[in-house]
Amino acid sequence: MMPFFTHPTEPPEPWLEALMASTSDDLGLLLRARPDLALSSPKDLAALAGMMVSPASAGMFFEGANRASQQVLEALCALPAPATTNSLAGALGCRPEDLSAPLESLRRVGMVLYRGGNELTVNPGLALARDWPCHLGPPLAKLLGQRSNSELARIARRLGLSGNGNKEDLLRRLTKAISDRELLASLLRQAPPGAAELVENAAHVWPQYHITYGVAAVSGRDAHPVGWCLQRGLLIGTDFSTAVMPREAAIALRGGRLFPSFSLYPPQLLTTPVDQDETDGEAAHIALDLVKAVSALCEAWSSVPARLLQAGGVGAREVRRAAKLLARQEEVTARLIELAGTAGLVAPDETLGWAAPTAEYDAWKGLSSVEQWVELVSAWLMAPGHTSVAGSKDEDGKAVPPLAERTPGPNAVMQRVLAIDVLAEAGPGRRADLESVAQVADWRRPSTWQLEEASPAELVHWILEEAAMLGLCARGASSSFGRAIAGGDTEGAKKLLGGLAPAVVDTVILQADLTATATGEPAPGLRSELDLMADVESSGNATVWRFSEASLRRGFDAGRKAEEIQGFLADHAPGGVPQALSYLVDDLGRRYGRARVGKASSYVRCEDPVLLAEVVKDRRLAPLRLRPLAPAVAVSERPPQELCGALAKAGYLPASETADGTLAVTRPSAIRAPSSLARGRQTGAAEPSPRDDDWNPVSALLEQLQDLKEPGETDEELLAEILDDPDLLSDVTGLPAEVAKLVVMMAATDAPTTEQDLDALVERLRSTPVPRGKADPVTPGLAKRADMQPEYPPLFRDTRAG
Amino acid sequence: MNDGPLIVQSDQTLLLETAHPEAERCRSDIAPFAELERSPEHVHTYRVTPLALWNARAAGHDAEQVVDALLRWSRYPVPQALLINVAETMARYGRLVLEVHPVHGLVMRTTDRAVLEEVVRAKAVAPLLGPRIDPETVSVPGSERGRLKQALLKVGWPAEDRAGYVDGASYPIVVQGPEAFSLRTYQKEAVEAFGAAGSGVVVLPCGAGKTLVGIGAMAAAGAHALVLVTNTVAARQWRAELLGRTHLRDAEVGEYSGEKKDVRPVTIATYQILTARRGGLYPHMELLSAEDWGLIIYDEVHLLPAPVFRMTADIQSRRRLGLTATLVREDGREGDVFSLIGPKRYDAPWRDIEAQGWIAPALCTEVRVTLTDEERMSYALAENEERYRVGATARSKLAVVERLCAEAVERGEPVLVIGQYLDQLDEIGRRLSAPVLTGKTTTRERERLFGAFRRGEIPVLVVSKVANFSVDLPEASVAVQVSGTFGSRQEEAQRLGRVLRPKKDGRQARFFAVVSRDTNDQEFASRRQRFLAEQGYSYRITDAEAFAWPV
Repeated sequence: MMPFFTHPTEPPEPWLEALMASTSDDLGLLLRARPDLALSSPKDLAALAGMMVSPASAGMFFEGANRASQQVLEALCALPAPATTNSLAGALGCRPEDLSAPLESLRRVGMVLYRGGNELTVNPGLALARDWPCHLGPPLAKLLGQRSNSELARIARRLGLSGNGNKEDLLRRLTKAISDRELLASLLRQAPPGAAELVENAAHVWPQYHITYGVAAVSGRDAHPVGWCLQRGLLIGTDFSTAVMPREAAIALRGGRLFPSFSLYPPQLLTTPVDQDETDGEAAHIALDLVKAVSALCEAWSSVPARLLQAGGVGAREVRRAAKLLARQEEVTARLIELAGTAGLVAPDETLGWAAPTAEYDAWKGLSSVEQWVELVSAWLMAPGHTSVAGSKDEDGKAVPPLAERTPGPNAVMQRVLAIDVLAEAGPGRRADLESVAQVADWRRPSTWQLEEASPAELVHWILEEAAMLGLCARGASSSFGRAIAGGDTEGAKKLLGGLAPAVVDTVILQADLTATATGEPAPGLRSELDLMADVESSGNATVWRFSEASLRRGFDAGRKAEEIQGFLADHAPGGVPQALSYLVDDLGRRYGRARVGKASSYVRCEDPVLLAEVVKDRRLAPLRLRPLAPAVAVSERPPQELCGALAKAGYLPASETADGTLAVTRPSAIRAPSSLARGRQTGAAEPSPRDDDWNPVSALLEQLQDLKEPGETDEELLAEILDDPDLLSDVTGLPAEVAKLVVMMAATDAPTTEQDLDALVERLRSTPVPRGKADPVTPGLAKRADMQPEYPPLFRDTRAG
Repeated sequence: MNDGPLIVQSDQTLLLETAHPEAERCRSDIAPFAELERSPEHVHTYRVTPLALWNARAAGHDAEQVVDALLRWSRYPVPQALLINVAETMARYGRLVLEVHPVHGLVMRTTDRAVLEEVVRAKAVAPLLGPRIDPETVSVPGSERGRLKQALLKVGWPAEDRAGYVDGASYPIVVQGPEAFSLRTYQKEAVEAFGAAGSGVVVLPCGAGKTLVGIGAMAAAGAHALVLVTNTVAARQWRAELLGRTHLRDAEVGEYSGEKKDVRPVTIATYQILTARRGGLYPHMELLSAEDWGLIIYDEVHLLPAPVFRMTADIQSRRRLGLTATLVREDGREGDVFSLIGPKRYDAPWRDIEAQGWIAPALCTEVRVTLTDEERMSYALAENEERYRVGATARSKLAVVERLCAEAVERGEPVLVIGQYLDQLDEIGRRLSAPVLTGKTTTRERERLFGAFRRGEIPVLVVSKVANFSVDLPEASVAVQVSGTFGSRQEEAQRLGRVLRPKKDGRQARFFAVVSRDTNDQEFASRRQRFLAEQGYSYRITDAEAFAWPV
């Protein structure tokens, strides 16, 4: 079922021997650099070697490698065997000695092998995986190997060569000829119109040429550019409609250089100085403000959820409403809604046709601002798509609605990580040029940016805009806590932001004007209780609430008693409770519930007959048509809610009561949507709630895969099909291909995940005998070369040029 | 981040913790550019408004100082948007300057051509301008000086007025008096701040001696002066002060009111007479330009009626002093005060002055009266528009008022009973055998009663609305409010002003509001409570049954 390691090829001897000769450190480094090897828990070194040279594993390493490593590896795949450091340096256009360090790094991670001194062998799995390295076609000998001698002789004669000799001779002669730059140049001078362009394209862009009406139709026509090339071996037909340029010709036409440019080091990150303290201050403010805005949005949607569009997502009108509430631009608001959705705090409920906060929001609400921010950032980091898509304009110029279903981008997570990493590397007090961030990020992991419609610069621009919205950066520079996040240090980020955030306070200052002021971030318990009993008048670094009869009534409605409220206030107000406030609470307590409104029969019950008579005769209540039923009871034909509301409006402070006469405790019920786990199935987002320790990536992934099941297919068939195709896998899961693969691997084994696990695995591998007869595993050619620099850091985590 | 006393909120408010050791230094730094909105006991709220920033700019502060003060005193990171807003707003003041050109007379000049191009195209501004002189200068008809400033403020480019003032007809005024009269420190500061600028507003609480600031300014100007006041009683009061505190003789101080029309070197006129209309015209408005006034004083500038604003726009070359307890106008025309009278020149929070010992601290108590069943019924049955009256004039209040008065009299403290409804006031007067002063009372009778009250011959005086404005009742150490108009903030300021005058023996003033429980009288009382508490006064609520004289 697991395609990446169920069919390991028989390990080629030299690779196994290299493993057997390596030290514990080398093995450990290999397993850390290529975690897929460790995750599958190989039983011995032979198994490890087999996996190490499998196309899947080697391909995965290649995908994650930086541009220099990719170019070295691809060049080795392209060069005719046996390659040497010199031939490699020639093909890349650098000095041989420059390559010793990167080659040593690649050797240690099992991608390159030295044989007999200078001879280089590339991981055979990679050679299989990259069968068209450097956009080059197969070698001439391979393309023409099956052709008749007379056919080869015909081509040779066209090139001005002798047509005599056996096939081997002919192939050698032909290969030599099309590898000859001067010969090719002189040939091209006599080429018919269009041929030079065609050759140029096949050499530099892509070696294949497609002729819809068949290669054979033009093969005999010297005046036709394709026919002309075919007759001279510059293109060779491979099937009915395809012709390919032989590798040697393309290399020659490229002037012997496989790539237009090659650099061992990433582009320089351009930076300018910026005040870090000011950056931090601004970013902290943005970060905390964002948290407040998300809270405000969720609170608003708790009572009035946002209506969904027919096609899904939150429409422009609802976005406008939210934008007004949050005093932000609509575009920014759309992103904010999308972010809240990404974090699982709000979710669409298709059955009810609205979007509302989820149960996860209730948990989030109980966290401190800094923790809430970390939740938002974590969700953003792991989001399968770009949140800034929401609110942006589509091809028709319409704003893309937030919370709509979207095809996730498999590379978004990695792109985000790269962008904020590179920005952070500018260092404290430095802002980085955006273009140069994109260039460095692209160099570091080219595969992540390929196959995107947008350029790396555009993508980085979006990502850093999103990051700025979160306060990870400001003024083009990372904030100190943004840098901690980039470094994976969530706790550090919390501390740094916490240091800039208003202190968490558990006390308020109560004043005679009936305000409560928390001169910092109110502790969650304090905040929720005050939100219940008072109205927020000003928020920001401090929060000011105002008590009123109406706001305190909410507290009584929620079941608080006067003594409880007094106690709460006294406990949290070291400066004392002003007499006026204390009086207000007691007075309300005395009067609250004097008039009671029944739900079932819609009656007014009142122990005070005068009050009841007053109620019944009150002109303002005339529409209720209250009739006195008994000295202490009056009834109405209107629904109880209306009755209660009208009485309250008229100032009677009615209380609702249950059937058995006790006070019914009502708190305004907040509307909730199904949680994001259920929603994940619809959107393909498998991201867990980060605080859920029990989340199992494997089961979540499998759960998603199960959902894709077509009727009639069994799970296993479908799973096997998806797992066999890494691209399909990444598409359906919305995870970067590599992550998806790792997750699948973890499913099959007791994967070692900790450092101790890894060390134990290394020890086990070294002590488990390899079942074969060879005596001395250490052959001289496999020993580490003396001129290598063993301490060179692995290339997949580059340092910049000094 | 530091441990400062200030918290800057993103909604442009500043919270100042008064208990912080640095609070006073911080306050003096932020007061120039932020308006004190609330000053209850622990946390004072200031608001940074465009007008406040321009006031600061007019007083010579720049954005850097403002930003600096915010950063220096703020406990937490200051919202970036606010800092940007401060800089941008302040930069708008003074881009346009009104000044006198040697050839063209009054002109508006700019250092920023784009701004000039913008405003000359503004619909509200264009008609007020004369011909263009050069790309940076445009001439302004002298008569439009005030209206232009108003219009420019509205389009967000307030002009700095450097066109100067005429000195007016010289007339030395010397401060002297039977008592060793001298200005208090803050009064001196206020006079100096105004003198340096030539026009503007001095904000001082009731009882802090605004009249004396006015007299000080008159002495400094040494010219013919016109004093505009709210009513005749206030006019007499000013007159008495002028005669008592300066060497001016009776013949030198004229009264221009409904009863007399004397124009003298120092003339006191009422807003009422100025705004009296005849055939759609304001015949008495001419008084403003009748004399070569060197100084015009607007008492209670927050009550300045709209027609007077219009006339004031025409006399922008005269020195103008506005006096008030509050810049807040119920009609929201604070901008007109800024444009036409001038920016704020001096401001001191009530509590600060009180701390200096000039105003007796007042104890405020709300006494809640439970209505009888009958009264409750009539309240419930009342039409909407009658509801307040029914609640506010409930007879149950009378017993409480009686008790309060009796207690005060027993303690030898003169009592002022204030109310809105004449029937209620008459009833109280009958029950307490106290004289009732209403709008129908003649001026002479009014003065007689005030005099008797001042001398202690009348222990209790019942007054209606007329007593609300600018009457000096130094010995009223207890005020009882039985009903009032819809809790407007101004009114509250006035009512409290009644009892906040300095007491000779340092007695504490007491302010009682008698309120009917469970009626909208109580709702209005809660607004009053908020206002008073925001001004920093202790405020207690008590039930009439449980009432005990506050100590």
